[in-house]
Amino acid sequence: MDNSTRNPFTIVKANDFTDQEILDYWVDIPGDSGFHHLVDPLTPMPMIIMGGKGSGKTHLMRYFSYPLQKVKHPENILKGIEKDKFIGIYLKCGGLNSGRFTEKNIDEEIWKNFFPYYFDIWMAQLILDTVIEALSYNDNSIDEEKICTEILDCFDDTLSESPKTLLELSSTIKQIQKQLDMAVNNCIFTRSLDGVQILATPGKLFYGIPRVLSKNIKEFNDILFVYLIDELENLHEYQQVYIQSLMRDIKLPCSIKIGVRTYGMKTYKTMADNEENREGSEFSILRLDKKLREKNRATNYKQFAVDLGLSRLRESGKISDKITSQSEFFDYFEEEKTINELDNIPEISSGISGKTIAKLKSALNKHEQSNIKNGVSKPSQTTEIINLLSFEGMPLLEKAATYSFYKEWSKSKKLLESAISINTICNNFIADKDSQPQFKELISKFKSDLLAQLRKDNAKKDSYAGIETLIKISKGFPRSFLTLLKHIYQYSAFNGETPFHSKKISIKSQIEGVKQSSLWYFEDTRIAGKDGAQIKSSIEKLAELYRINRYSDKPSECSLTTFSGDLTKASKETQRIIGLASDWSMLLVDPDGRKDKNSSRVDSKFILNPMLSPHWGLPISVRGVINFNEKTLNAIFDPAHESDYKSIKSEFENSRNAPFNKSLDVPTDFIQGAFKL
Amino acid sequence: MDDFEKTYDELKIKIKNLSEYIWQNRIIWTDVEVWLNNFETNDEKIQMLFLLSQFMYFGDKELRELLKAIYRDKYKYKIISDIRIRNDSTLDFNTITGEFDKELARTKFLGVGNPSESGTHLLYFFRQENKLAKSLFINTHEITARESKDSTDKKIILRNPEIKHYIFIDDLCGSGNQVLDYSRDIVEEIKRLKPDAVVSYYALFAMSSGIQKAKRFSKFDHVEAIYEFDSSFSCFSSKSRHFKKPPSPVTLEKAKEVALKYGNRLWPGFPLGYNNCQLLVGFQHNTPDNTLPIIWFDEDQSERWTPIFKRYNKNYN
Repeated sequence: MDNSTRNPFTIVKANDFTDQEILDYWVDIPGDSGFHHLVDPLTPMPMIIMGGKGSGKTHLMRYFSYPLQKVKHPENILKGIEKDKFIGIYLKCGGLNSGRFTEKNIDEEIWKNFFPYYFDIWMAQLILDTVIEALSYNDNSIDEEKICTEILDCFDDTLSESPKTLLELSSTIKQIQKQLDMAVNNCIFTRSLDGVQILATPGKLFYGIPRVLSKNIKEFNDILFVYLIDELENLHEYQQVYIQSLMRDIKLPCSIKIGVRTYGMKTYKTMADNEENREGSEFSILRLDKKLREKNRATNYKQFAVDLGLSRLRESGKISDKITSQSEFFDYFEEEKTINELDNIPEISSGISGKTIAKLKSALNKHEQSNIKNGVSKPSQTTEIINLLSFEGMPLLEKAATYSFYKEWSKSKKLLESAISINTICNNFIADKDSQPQFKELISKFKSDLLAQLRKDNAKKDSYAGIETLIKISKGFPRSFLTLLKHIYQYSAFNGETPFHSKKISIKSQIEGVKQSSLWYFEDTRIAGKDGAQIKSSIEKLAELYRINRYSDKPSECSLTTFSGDLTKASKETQRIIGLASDWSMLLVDPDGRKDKNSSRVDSKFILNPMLSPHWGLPISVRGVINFNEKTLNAIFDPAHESDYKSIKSEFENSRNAPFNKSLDVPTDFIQGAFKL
Repeated sequence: MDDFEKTYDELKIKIKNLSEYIWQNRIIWTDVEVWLNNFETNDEKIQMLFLLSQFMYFGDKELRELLKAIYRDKYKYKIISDIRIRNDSTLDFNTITGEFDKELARTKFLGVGNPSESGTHLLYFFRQENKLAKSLFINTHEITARESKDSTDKKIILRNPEIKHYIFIDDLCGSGNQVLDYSRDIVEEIKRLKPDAVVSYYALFAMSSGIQKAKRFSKFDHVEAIYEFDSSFSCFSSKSRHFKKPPSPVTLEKAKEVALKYGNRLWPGFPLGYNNCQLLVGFQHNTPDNTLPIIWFDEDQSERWTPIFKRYNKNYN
């Protein structure tokens, strides 16, 4: 594939980038100091960089690591480190293969003592290799023998070898690690780690080596050794306890930054009598995706996302270096025209022959018997209702009128009188929108759902197009945004367009790309075993209920993708599965929760990740919230209560569609205002 | 979303992925749309879109791997096995290599068909992939020669009597008829002149029925294929692998009806492909005529048919 057809958004994971690419594709958030300010590599206070899948943790941590410092300061890395005032030692916990240090008939206590030593030995090599590499650019002589002697002093026993240079020392420590590896690999047969001797107290090497280097190497005198420990979720709980202990006892010139998925922090306990580290006291937390969602000038996610896109296009040579502005990026994407209440919409039928009225007519005819109590007993009355609610050439208004009518029907109001009243409101609205503030507000709130219904009724695709929509869908996750661009690019090229060239990317290609990204997000969540299957099944049920609401005759809540509930009353399994779904960013948690109407209780509140919404034709904007009682929560999330789901779904459907059977146990309401995350 | 729309969208995703990952981006959606315009109704279009999603394409990379497999699995391993049997099951590398080189020097590789056809066209890649000397390849007319230069001399001899192995390489064995033609015209002659010569026919692909026929009735010592198409590859057979679980509204019966309706117009004798093979297969270098003609037909201009995987047809005139 030549450069003209190469997709600039193919790589969406920082793990797949080279060091140079990490730098080339680096985009800072707008603001005075950007990510540097947020990560603050010069603070000795340990930091946990926490975020969901694809929030940019690895890219961020690698950006501050030594290999990147080297790329950033090609002329003289030592001078560069002095200027940066830190050196970043990056470790990906996945590389430790932490599962090796469990079970195998070895007592847990032994592993608890063994792992810290192994970890320290691993880190000792990492830091020595980094420093040896950096010093190869040094012209000044350093007393390596003295450094070695002092580092050897960090061991509690004399080593069999007496290295005189840093290279020899690194080799000696590598040898120790090899012996440890041999012992671990073979303990499955020997059922013991008897031959292993722990030669250093936990933490002594970890803190000691930087101290010795700082003291003896001029260029390192005033710098901080920043341990960047990524993918902490890959460590077992007892292993994380050791990392917490290192954070608790942090000693200059060291600092620690931990990268971890939101779900991955298994403990805050330390080895010091199981005492827990506390945010603000022993560490700070940078909640990356949440930070990117914050609406303030310092972290303008919209600008950041557009810069991400522009950076990829520039690097791939698709656009000139001069293109930097948001508006130029926006121009690449065809936008849907804004639809007003009184507009005709191309390819959407309205009036007597339209789908909206046909559906209403069918409902009135179908439920003829039950309508008698609502005052409709003759076919001529049905015809009159139909005529009153038909608005030829104004499909959105007509949809809002029928929605209002269904609402009255659900309250068992007299149908003909209701239709007359709605007709009057609509005609007044046509003459002067402001004369009908309630109706105006109703259309405003439910516009997205009503338009979605019109599209569905007329066999048109759900509309997910325009750069603003893409930014909303990605909800603070850079990888989600790049994934959207990746699939949109693919579809645009497949549809015969020349993306990011002369013409705009069509709405059709955008919708197809968004749908594909949404499916990918759902399928790509590789949670192993039964839990994975249960989470997916629960999310599907939840989305099904949201979909029923959105496409029903009378959606109770507008733009519904959020639920709240008193989790304490739900089963333990429900709580666990909701927790896991949140951990995997399928559900996003609103930390403020939602106040129960009838008590002072604050319920937990969860939004379906907007990346998943297009898969089920759900809205991107988040407005309505539905409160689920424990029975509904359990039916959705707990397989032991799955049998209740069918009847709950049925009630959910019946309560929202004519003739509106009442037997609800699902209290609903509508909350105004923006959703806060 | 009704079944039609849902299936249409799903098939588009599948075809996009196929195009991107398997079909080497040969097809974009506008090509598909133009091809679908050959069909009259939406129901016909969805049936055919499904057939397209089942199309098996073998690109350059796959063909090169298969050519390696022919050399390694069908030729080299057989020879090495014979060498080991002759040498008391030896595992000695030098003995095996030495003897193999001798056998290779007594081997000639040939293509099947006219030099302009795909069988011979593949020999170039076969030689590249297996790093073979040019001298190991000959044309069929170079197998024999007249004993004297006198043009009246009718006595035919083998041009190189030292040659022990004649290996014929083909891309697809369809009906098996061409193998029998070769057997009659060439193999019998070689065997007459050198009864102990080993003459082999290896195809990348073969219809099971064709290769069975060739095995049974030809004089080749070995008749084999790397990839055999059994009746499950015939797309409308009762065992069709393509219609195990078609998405609604696609059915085998409806799809067959459409394929026949247009196939009869395009190639009246063989509406579902040559010899009624009903294949849905194409190669990077060509689409075989055993595949449904609605896929590849591009010949009779009066038909105004736009193919999706064009066939570069053999013109025998």
